[in-house]
Amino acid sequence: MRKVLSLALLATLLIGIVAVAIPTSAQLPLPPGVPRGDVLVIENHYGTHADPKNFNYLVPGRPGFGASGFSQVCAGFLWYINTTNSELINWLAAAPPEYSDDFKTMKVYLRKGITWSDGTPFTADDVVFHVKMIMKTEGMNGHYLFLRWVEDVYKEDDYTVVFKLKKPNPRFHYFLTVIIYGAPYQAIMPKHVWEKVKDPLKFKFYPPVCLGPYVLKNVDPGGNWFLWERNEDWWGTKLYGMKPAPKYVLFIHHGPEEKKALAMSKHELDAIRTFLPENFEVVWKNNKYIGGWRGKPPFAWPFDACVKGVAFNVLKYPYNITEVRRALAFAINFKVIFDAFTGPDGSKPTPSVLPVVRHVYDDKPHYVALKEELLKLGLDPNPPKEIQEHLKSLGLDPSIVWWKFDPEYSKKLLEKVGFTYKNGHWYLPTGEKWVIHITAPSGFEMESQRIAFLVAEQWKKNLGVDVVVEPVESGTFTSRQARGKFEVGAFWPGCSQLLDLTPHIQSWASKYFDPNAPGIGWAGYKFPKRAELDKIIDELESTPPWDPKVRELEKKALLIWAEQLPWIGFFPTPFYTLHDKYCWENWPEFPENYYMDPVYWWAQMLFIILQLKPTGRCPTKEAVQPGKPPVLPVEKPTATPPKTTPKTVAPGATVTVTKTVERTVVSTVEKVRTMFTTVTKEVTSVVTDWTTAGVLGVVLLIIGIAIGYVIRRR
Amino acid sequence: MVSRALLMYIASRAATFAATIFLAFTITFLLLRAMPVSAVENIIASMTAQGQVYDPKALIQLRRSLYELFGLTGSPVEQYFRFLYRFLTLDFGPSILAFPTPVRELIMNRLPWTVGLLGFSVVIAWIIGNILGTLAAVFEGTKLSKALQSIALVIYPIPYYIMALVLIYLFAYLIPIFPLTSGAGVLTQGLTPAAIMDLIRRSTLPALSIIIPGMLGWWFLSSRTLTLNVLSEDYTVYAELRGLPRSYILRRYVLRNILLPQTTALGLALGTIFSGALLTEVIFAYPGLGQLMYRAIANGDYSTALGVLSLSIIGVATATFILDIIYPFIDPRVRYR
Repeated sequence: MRKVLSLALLATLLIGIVAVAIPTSAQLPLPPGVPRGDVLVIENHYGTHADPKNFNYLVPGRPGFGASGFSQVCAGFLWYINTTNSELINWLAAAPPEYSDDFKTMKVYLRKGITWSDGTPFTADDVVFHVKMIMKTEGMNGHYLFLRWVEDVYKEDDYTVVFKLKKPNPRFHYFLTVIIYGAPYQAIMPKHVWEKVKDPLKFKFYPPVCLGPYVLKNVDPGGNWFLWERNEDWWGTKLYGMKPAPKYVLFIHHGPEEKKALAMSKHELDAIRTFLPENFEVVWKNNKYIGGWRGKPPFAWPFDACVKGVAFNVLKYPYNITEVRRALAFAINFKVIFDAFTGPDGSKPTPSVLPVVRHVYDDKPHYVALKEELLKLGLDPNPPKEIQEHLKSLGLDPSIVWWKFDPEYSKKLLEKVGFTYKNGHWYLPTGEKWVIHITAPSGFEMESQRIAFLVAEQWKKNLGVDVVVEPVESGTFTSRQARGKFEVGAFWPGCSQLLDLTPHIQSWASKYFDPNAPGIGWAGYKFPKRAELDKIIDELESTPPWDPKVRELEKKALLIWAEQLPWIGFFPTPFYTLHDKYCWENWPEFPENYYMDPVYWWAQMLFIILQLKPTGRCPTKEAVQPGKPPVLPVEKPTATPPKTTPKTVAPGATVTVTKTVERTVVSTVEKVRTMFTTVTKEVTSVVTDWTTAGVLGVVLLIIGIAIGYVIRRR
Repeated sequence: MVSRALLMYIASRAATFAATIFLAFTITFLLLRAMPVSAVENIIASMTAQGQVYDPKALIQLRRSLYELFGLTGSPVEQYFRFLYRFLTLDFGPSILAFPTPVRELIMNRLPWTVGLLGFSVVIAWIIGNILGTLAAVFEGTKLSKALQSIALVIYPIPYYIMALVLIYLFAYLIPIFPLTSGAGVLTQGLTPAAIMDLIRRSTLPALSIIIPGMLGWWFLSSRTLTLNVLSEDYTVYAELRGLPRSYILRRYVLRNILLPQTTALGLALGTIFSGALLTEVIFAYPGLGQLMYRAIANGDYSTALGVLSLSIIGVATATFILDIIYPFIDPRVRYR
């Protein structure tokens, strides 16, 4: 017996010894000898990847585009939108797109000197091949999109690509611009790699050939992390002096949020997509170096891309009745929802009564412009002071908050359309008991789940209606929404990051309604102003975004939406997109250093990585100070500068450039202020050179004539 | 010479084995088909979310081409036979989640992780739990026995999730002797001794999270109770009265009798390891089969889900079959009839 006892003890001891005796260094999966200060650690928000050695995101449904780091540090995009100001950033494209007058041709100018990570030059051939490959490969991500719009795509020269469109579209370049997150078909693929591939859908593109500043160094065979190494031969460094400070970027999945909070508390995670408030609190208490949208509390980002709330299936009885939807909206005490999303650090959401994320640049043209009409429709004329103060602090109109809280009015609306209330329950006009079923997400998008329960509570308490919340897993949630198999859902159909709302609201038109996948049914919903709304969308689609008419049309569309209320949006839920300033600094922070939104899982993260600086608190070997900021000049080809005297060439050159400026301005998003300024400044300076020369010539001529005249007279 | 009775016994068990597998496969197929998830609709929804607005005709085409691409066309009956064929050939076609990677490849990548972790943890927990449980019963009333019982009664009802998080908090955060992330470290030099040690180190916390509750939970409590029962049996009391040595009684009378139910439970536990340990894998970000199956089911990836579930079906059915065959060797009271 003693022997058995001894054996048991020995086994236990052995486990303990093995556990404790193993070295304790290198908590992160880094190559031997790499110090923490050389590595930027970003959350892989997707989780464990099933096949981490597959970088072909053109395969439909392939997840992880922004979680593996591919979209942020490897992929190459023509343009990006800076969501802080809706500006267009020219990246691989040397200038904004140039449209023909009929908007059936779009010209793209590429930067010269760009190379892929294997050294091959990036040219118009790559762009043409990329688009044609997608158009040729049925089922590929973006296939039907390009097929619908592109008649032909060809190169005019090695750095100019021409898109011939099937029908006019002044916004075609949006399809090739990273606006929210980034789409796989927007990342240009290398022709020299893919042209050898027989079946592009079965190609894994591993290791990926990059246009970004990093190349793939290593991948976790288990699928939890991706390690990228700085490309010392990156074109951005050679051509423009840009150089990212971190030698490595590690995208890693630590596990559930609680573990991520621990990782960030011990400086093993530098940036994360979001935390629930309770986990944020853990990090906030344990890490004094954290920052978020602001550098100090309140930290949460108030402008996430979508206005969260609940959507009605407007094709399903009784939610196809406008009065019912409006009644349900007025039965919600907005202050309760607002307070529930006020974080422990004082982070507050941005009330958004319209399906438009309420950036400062959106407030005046979309919210303030509709204020009177919204008041007539039931906007709260006396919103809570606390919310008004919050809106004021963001530079937004404090008088526009949300719909009034008026349950009595809700009851009247319901009774008006035949609903009855008896024995503590509401009954439908058909005589059946009314029970509202809300589909909510489970295990993901927990903010929306919280909204579902809060709304259910409000409807129960204020209206006395029976409500059942059904949390379902992600796959079921998405399928229910897509197939329209729900009554009410905690969905978020209102997303926007551009002042130009057309790409965000065009799906409201009935021409895009798919009976097989009706979604919330708004596009297929028949109501008196349906034809008017369709006409507005048609007009918006054919009107260039810089035309002042666009704002008027958007207002009309938004007003129709507000009259109908196909969904109830509260606000973009505050996102605790945190970063750790222990090893790296110069993160974007509002308002002092607000050069980008904290979109660490979007392709725009590239612009943050390029500006980070090592703090010196973490040991480094190969981290450097960052190069020049990623502000690239517009390099649209202009007429070759004259080699002879300005006198003979100057007038022609001046005219050409002026036309180019006009075209550039015409073909750009209206609110691209900085870009516009940049172009104008650049061209102005060129014009000034020639003008000076011309003026000088004229002055010299006049002086010459005067001298000649004087000499002759003498 | 193999007896006829034995052959008949094996044949009947083999028939049961085959019928079990066939039935389990059919039920699994039907359940998967009844899921309210469509991978294709989810993919289209994600494309729409990326700003791709399609006209309905293009959507119909897209839907058709995706169904073809993922091999999801045909009537339910056709699909059943297609999947049955795949099941019999153990070739489940391409995964939808990680297209075009074959499901078999995904499973083979995850299998060593799962078998390594769960096989080791289950066996260790079983051995130590049974030994400690038996000893606690034999030395019933001693301080050590009482202490072990108290610990077991405290640990057993703790939810697994909490137990795992406590381990992480203690040994990866407060006393950071283990890393927060599991799976592999950087294997730049291949499977070197250092890389293997790193792998073991990264797997220790997940393993402990299975061993501790298993060892001090079910295995300890069940073996202790079984031992106490056997110790109070007439034949044990008689053996003691006969003056047989205590170690002999424990070895021949007690251990052999508690071994039968415990071995059965071990066999079944080992059979189920092929479905992975979902909670462990999620909490520790451990790349096992459980997470793969979960993601596949959640996203309507029938091929991958069926692949992992088939492995589990085969695992459990095989474990049961083997146990049925070896029972008579463990317990002479069981006869081939």
